[in-house]
Amino acid sequence: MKSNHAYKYILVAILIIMLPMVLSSPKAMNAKYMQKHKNDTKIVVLNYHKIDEMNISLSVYPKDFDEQMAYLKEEGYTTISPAQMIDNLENGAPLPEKPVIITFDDGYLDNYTNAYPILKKYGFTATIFVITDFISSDPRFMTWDQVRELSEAGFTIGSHTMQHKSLTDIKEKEIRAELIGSNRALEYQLGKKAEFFAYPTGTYNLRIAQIVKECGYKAAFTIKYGNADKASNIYALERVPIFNTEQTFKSFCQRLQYIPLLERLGWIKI
Amino acid sequence: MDIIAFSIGTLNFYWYGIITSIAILVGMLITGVGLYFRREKFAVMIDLLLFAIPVGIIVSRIFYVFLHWKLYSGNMTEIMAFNCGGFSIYGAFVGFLFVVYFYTKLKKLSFWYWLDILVPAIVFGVAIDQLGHFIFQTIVGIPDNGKTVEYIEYAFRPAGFEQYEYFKPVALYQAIWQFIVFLVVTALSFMQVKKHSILFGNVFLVGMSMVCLGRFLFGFFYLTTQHGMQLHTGQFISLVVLISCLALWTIRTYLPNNSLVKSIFRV
Repeated sequence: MKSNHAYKYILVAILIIMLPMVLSSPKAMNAKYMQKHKNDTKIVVLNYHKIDEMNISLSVYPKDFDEQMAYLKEEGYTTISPAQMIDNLENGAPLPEKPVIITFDDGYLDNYTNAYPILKKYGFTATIFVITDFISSDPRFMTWDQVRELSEAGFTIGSHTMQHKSLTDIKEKEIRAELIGSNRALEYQLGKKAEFFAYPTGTYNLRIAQIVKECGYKAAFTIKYGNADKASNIYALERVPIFNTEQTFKSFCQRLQYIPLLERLGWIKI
Repeated sequence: MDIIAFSIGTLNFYWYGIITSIAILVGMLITGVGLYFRREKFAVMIDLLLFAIPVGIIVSRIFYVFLHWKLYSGNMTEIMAFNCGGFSIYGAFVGFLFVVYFYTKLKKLSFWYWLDILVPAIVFGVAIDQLGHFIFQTIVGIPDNGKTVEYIEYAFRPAGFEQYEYFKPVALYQAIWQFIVFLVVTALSFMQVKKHSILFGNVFLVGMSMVCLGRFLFGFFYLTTQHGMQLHTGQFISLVVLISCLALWTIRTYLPNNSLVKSIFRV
């Protein structure tokens, strides 16, 4: 009698072990999404503005920035370019183990004077979205020579429009003028077209995202808090903003690790 | 959130399957406790599982293909593409019910009695299923910007709602409701065993009525792109089952001596 029952227990155990191989998803998804990409990683895109001693939230102290870059180096992060990220998301190209993209918005002068030396020290690359009308005309921002030097050093230079107007506040004709005009300036000054864009003030909608695509950009970044992965809209990529706070380094570490876990559990905004 | 937990060579192990397996194991534990207190044989549960797992998967697939026929009518080979997803919980439940019915008839056991034994595990499974829908963002609620909202990633937002980022966490609320139903059903089972005061089968009917009520009410907060119908398919099915369960409960409680009823529903 006992041996009669034993085979049933074994069969049930086999069925329970086989279930994870059969039940893929309650909803039918397209085959491309169901494939596991090699190096299927979530990419952290850090978002900075200024690196100086102004003591405002958008301006991180240089010594804090150095501490953060040292941390990234120690923890084995590798900085990549947006082009590498898009290649991975679209074509499944491999990425290093812990990829991170460091971005700066606006193109402030301190990006060159304070941030660039620190990034060079750690062998990191970064992406800077510049406001093309302010370069070489507003003393708070970099000059074209400086931008060119960064571009030649391997940094990705993207567009942040010509005059930093919120795209949801202006008409379509003006949106296209800002997008195309800034790219023309970048192409003229740097010798190559800009492929990446960041929305000024982060405001966008799906129609604007479509216009960005039509103007020839390969991807666009918002200021939406999150990680870029294959479930993201590549014309509305999420970023992690880094602010100057009471405990800048602690919140930097939290933001680097924190989001992946909460996103995995279905983020609740409470 | 990735669909694949890990792979061994080309064999993929999916999170949905892993969660289902764990839910089955926990369900076995819960049922085992019930069997112990009712002094019943463990072997019956093993027999049921042996048939219910494969039958449940097949019927669940048939139901899904039928309910989403538009997706498959153009390309019949897709029906066999299990690795692209598509399993209906309603189908799984119907398959399970078939197995329990035919097994109890074959072994001359009381169908209603055994449903009462199995219902706590069934309700627990439904609750875990809803929790899974919440985590994997497969059930999306109405767009919302309040305090308790869920962020749905771009790829999972229903067509036409891509510009919204936050939605009501409907699946989470439903999971909480189903856990409460689980506690109620467990309490009723306890009363049935200790006090012999509840007719066999009524725990099952009350439990399923509450589960379907939850599904029906929360269904109004689902974001669905079905046009025309006031209620979407899941709600419709839940409403039908809810009414059937309540009708059965009423008939069995108030008309136990009616000869017609007796011949159909052997008490």
